[in-house]
Amino acid sequence: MKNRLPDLNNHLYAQLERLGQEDMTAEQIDTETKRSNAVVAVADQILRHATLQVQAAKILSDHGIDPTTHLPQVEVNPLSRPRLRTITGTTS
Amino acid sequence: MKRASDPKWRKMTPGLPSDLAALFEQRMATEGLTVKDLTDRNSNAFLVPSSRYQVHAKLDRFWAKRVAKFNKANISWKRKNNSGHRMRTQEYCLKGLHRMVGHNVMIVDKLGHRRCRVCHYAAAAGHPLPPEKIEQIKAAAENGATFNQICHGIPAGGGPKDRSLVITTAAKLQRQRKLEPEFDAFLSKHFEANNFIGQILRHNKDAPEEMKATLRLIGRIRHKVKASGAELPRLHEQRPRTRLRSRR
Repeated sequence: MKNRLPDLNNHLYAQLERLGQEDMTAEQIDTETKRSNAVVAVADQILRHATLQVQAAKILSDHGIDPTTHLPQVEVNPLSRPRLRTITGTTS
Repeated sequence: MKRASDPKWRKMTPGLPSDLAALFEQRMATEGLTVKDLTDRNSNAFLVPSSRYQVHAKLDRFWAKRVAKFNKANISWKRKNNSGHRMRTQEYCLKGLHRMVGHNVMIVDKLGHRRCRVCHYAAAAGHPLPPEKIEQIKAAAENGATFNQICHGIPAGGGPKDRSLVITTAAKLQRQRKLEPEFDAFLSKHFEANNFIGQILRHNKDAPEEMKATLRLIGRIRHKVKASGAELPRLHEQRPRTRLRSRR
């Protein structure tokens, strides 16, 4: 599944390219602007959700709990993984 | 030419008679003359020989002090008003390009030195920008830099000032934009988009750094939509305005 932040960027780049096409009719431009507005609205919601997740993870981290399970969109390097307690209390 | 052995000085006590000393001082005060004017035999304003003046200055210290004060002020005034620079800039500036009248004359210091305003601004802006600098500015604008970032080091989207971001000064950049309309059009186009994106970044100050790239993309798309003339819907509902004082 492509549901990480870099994938969202790819979608946005694709939309930007579609908007930048020069050989478009007035109807096509109208369609693309509507599509752009829809894509941007969705992307904004995803970003707000991700920001909220990061804030929640920060709070957990401040209390010494492993926040990685609450960051599904962030890839963690297993070699530099700190040993922290999970929210259930077990050591990861 | 007045002769040194003028008979009027014979059989006189050393120094100056009191009426002559008073006249000497008065002419300095009223006519703006210097000691040299009054003691130089070739001067039209000659009054007393230099040797008489020197002896009198030694005999009457208070008089000498007052005269020295007048002398200093008059020399300064004469230098200012009769200097070659001032004479040359009565009608046109030193370069002979602009009229020295009205608003174009700048008084730059307490002494009343004059400068041509047009020449001063031209000199302050300096030479045209070198081509490599122009390329650097263009690249920065394409990468999302705003005018404030290029000239003052304030990054697009706000944040602390970073002097390493400064490429040139505002005066030099604006001068170059006037000289090259193409460069001006290029910068205007990019600055407009970058300011729009900067506004979105400022609105989302709390967003983590990883998400700033996505926010920039959103800004670019929204700016394109806006530039096409289509309606740009609000992303968020406008925050209700809170009244500071409730009326009773």
